Amino acid sequence: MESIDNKNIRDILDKYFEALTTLEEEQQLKDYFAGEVAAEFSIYKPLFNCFSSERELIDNISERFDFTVKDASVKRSSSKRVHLGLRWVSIAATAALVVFMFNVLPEKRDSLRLLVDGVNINNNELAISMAESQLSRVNFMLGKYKQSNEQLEGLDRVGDAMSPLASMEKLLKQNSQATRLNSNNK
Amino acid sequence: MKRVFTLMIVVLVPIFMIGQVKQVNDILDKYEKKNNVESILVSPALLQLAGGANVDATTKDLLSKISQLRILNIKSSAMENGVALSKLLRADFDKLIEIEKFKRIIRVQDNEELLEMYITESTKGVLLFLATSPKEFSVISIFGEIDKSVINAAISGEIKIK
Repeated sequence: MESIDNKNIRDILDKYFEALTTLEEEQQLKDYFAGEVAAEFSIYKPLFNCFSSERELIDNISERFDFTVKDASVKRSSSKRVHLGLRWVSIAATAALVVFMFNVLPEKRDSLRLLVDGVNINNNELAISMAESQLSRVNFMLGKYKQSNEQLEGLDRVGDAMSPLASMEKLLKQNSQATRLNSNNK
Repeated sequence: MKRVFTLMIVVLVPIFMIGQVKQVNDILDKYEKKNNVESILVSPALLQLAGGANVDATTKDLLSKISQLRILNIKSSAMENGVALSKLLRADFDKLIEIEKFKRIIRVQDNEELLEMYITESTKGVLLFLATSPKEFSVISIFGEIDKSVINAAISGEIKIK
């Protein structure tokens, strides 16, 4: 930028106040009043600086605003990502539940099924009679368990019945000890 | 993040809980399509308790706890690669019983017949009967909420097919 002397400034200022300045000349004035100013022009300094300070303020605000907007957009995109993640998790959970329902709990689909040598046989009566025979086999064995359990309970009952004998034995022992002590004292 | 954890718990916990059920089903699935094997699957709708003409609230409650009955029967003659299939199945169950810490609550030996009854640690699991005889090896599994009332009904031989 070429330096301008006081006379030039005065000329441009005169033209400025008559609204005859070019954009280039107005820029020269702005640049001049942004720095050190001769005493005679100091009165005009606020006129040119007030806008520049405001401009600076606006720039600062817009910079900050830009940052906030960018920040917000980043946040929005990350929250979008979280949303997407959650959506995927819920889809995965639903899929897992479906797989679980059909693979882990296949029994829900059949009420009765009979397979012999790997062949599905659609004969409910046969299936029921086969299942019954297996259950009765188990029940027969469990009957043995119940029998032995009852025998143990019977033994318990015998033990209970014998308990008065045990107390009698105790009394007899005490009695014999007392007799022995008496005979020793004599 | 909280939601994700909640979701994971909601999805995973039941899956872990029914892990033992799945493993029993997997073993039964593995053998049911082989030769000399009989497999029967019964839904609770076809189950009844002994003397089931009078279906009272207690009976209904008991049956509502059972989700499925599954029976697998392998004849001693069934072989696979020169090994008795019944022995392979028994070995698979022995491994599962050891790993999953099934509890044996009854063992009845009558001459050459042996009956063992196992339950899972959690109540929502399986009641397992392993019946061994010279002729065959049978697995009877009762799935559902295996609490004291179901165990007592099974021991008393009250669970029957309609």
